Amino acid sequence: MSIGFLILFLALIPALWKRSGLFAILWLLGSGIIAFEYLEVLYSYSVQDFLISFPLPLGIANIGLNKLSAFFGTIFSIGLPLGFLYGHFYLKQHQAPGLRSHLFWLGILGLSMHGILWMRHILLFLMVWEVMSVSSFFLVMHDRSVSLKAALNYIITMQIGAGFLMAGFGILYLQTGSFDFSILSAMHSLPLYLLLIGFGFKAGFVPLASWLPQAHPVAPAHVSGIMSALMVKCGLYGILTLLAMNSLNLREIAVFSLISIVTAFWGVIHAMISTNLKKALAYSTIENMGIIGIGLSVGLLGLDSGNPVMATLCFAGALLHSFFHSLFKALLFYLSGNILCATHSLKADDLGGLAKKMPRTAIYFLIGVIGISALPLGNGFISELAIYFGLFNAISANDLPALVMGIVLLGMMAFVGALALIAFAKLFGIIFLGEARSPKADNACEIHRGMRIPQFALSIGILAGGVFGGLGLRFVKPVLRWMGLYMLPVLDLQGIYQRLSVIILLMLLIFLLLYLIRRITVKTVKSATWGCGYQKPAARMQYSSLAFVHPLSYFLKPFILLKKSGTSAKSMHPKEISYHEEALDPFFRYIVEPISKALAWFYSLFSHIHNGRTNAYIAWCLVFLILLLIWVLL
Amino acid sequence: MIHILIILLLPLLVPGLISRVKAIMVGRIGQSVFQPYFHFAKLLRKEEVISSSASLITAVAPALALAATFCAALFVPMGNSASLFSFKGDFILMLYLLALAKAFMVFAALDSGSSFEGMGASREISFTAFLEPAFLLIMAALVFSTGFTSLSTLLSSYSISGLEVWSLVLGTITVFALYLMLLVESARVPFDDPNTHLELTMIHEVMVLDLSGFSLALIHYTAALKMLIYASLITQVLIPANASLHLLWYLIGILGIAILTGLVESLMARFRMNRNLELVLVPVTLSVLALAALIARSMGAW
Repeated sequence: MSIGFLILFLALIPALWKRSGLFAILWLLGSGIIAFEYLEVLYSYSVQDFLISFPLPLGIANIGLNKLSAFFGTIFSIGLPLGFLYGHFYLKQHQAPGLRSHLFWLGILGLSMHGILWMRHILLFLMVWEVMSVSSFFLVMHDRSVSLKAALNYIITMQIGAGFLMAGFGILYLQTGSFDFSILSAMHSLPLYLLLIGFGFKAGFVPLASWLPQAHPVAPAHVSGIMSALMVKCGLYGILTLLAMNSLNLREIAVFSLISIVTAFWGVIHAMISTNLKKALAYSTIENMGIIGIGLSVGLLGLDSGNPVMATLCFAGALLHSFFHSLFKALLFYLSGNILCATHSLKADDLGGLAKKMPRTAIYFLIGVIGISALPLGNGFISELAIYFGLFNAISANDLPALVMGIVLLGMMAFVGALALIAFAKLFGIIFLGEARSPKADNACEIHRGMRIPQFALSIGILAGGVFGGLGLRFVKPVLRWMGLYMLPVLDLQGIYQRLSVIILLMLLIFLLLYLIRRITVKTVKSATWGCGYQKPAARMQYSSLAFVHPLSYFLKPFILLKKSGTSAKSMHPKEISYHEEALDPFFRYIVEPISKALAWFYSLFSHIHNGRTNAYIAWCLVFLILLLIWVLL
Repeated sequence: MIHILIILLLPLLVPGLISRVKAIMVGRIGQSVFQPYFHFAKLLRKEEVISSSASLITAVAPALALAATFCAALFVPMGNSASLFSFKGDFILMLYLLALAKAFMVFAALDSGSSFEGMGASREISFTAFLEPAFLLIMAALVFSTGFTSLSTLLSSYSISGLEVWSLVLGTITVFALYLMLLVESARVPFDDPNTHLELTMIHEVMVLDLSGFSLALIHYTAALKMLIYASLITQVLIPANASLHLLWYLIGILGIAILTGLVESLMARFRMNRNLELVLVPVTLSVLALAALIARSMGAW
């Protein structure tokens, strides 16, 4: 293990010399070694944690791994080097000043993400947590001209989240007098809520998720990929650690599931109406976190109501989904980088017809879409299937709270899943199919082969996970056992996944047969798209992305805060009319923005203290000293 | 064996029956009920005209849609109380295989770059948002009353029996919800009118405007098979569990549904396109109603 981390630290040296290629190679090498070690911890029979102790001024600090952190560590050591490899090629194509610091902070971010999994000491944990937030802040700010505001919003949100964590840990320290992670078990409700909220900020749960859709569209593709696919998992790791060591009561579970439902629903409807590719992906991350949350809450409900089958299935689904999400979300974000490099636009309505210009990117995107919208063949289906199994178990069990929650969550899961399919069918259809809507898209050509290497690897992972569901299940099994869950349903699920593989392979076989018959026997002629007799169709006449989702966005209007602006026709012969529609983020607009405005106003009251005159500053010092004197004398 | 034969041969009969019923209702003799088969055979022999905007998707989508729908049909009991493949929770896979087919149909429509087809694709996929919850909630009602098993077991243990009032009430609700889903999914009046060629009101037909020859034949078969899947689900709920001559009852049921659909098409007008989504919510509501009724019964409210 130490060799692996040594290599990762050494990777910072080529980073300082701007050698992004060597940096990525060292990360690949080091992560390979570390992944091997993580897997060893994950699959070793002993349940004993791996511990190193050394004295600190404030007590003994434990550094160690358990099955849960080894699970997330494996995810990180698969995802991070692929992201850095993509970043190497992306930064070559899309140059911006500050490569040295960018690479350095990438390395620090990766190290801190691994570090979080190791720290079993609250102070060390918080330190590493802060390093992670700060380094990702610098990464988001890479292209300062576009990203400053979003990056500042991000770091402030993260600091508020860290504040909640500090408050929670502080209360715990006051109660127990210890900094060790063992105090996290059987907590009082107040620190537990504070910690859950703090981790929820990072994981992107509503209403704390407004940083995601702001930061991702402006960050470089590999950074948003890493942050969205992997870094939010740190928040999830925190939540899972807490949930594994504490039990929630029914009311708390109901609140948690409600938050998860709102998260999933809110994320998916905004993903659906977003016309910016990366914004849609960021919202979809929120949606996927909601789905994981639904899985977790049903799992908790199973534990609470004494239905171990339901608990195991849903926890398995949630863990699987957090692994699979790290694959397809990273893939889609990296592909958005391909599109940006090729066309310099991420707006769906500028693009179109890229499948003919960039066929390989299109195929990878299609695989990502199949994965993320949980269609059979992709891995998203495997994890959602496990959650559905848990939900149906809840419905067939004879327990009223589980029944009612199961029904509500089932309906919402299906609705959210269908909306996700619509959102991604829209993105793929508008961006890759049809005709180019702008010259930028018309001039696109396939990007550098190197950028496609990590995408190829991720696509293979998605398909392998989707066709052979047992592979993923084998990965989460040790964690489930560590959580002390009932293991029989896992065997059951394994059998289901085997039959699923048979069906999917049968489907592929039929498909191939039909495709080959058509290929060999059918003569084809090319001709223009039939335009119902209209002779001069133009690319702008194609259905636009907003029009595509209009039936549903019209229907779901009450849930979307739309800002419309534009000019209407005034005279008989209008010169120009315009219409602009933008979906606003209600949480940002009605919670975050008023608070920050009020804070800014409050601070502006004191701004004239900074008037730049030395004598005034000396006067302030004098006033302060006098006040201090009075206080001491009193 | 009989199951495979039904999947392969029966689907195209249903649209043939429907159009015959419609013809008789307006006083024509109409075409032969086997016309869709002749049409299918003719399309297979024709050359294909492909849009110049089309990418690989157009070549792939019809075959994949057919393969996915075919695999979904394997889970549905047809002509026998058991289906060919079945395992616990297979109805989720069935639903998502149909969603896969639909997604590729939408891609094929958008691939032509025609605004007309984009319109159809948008409408078709919007219905999914409510049909998926509706189907799973109906399944939840079945699961609640019989336990979490496979689709064929659920359907055969949840069939209508004349002796029990509850089973009549629930069966009626379920059948009505499934029938509405059939009308939506197979693009029938009142949601969609397959006969109004080249008007702005079509959904399914407009999506396949640019497909021809072999691909169009596959699409026609896929659409008919999807309709047969829903019709079989309905029939299976209606047939009593231990009925003898199951196959005969099944065929009568399919025939009845086809005639009923023809009558609905002849006697009803198409609904306004922009209000259709509200109507698609009806199956969701019905399934919730069925669940509520079941819960009330098990709680002993009546």
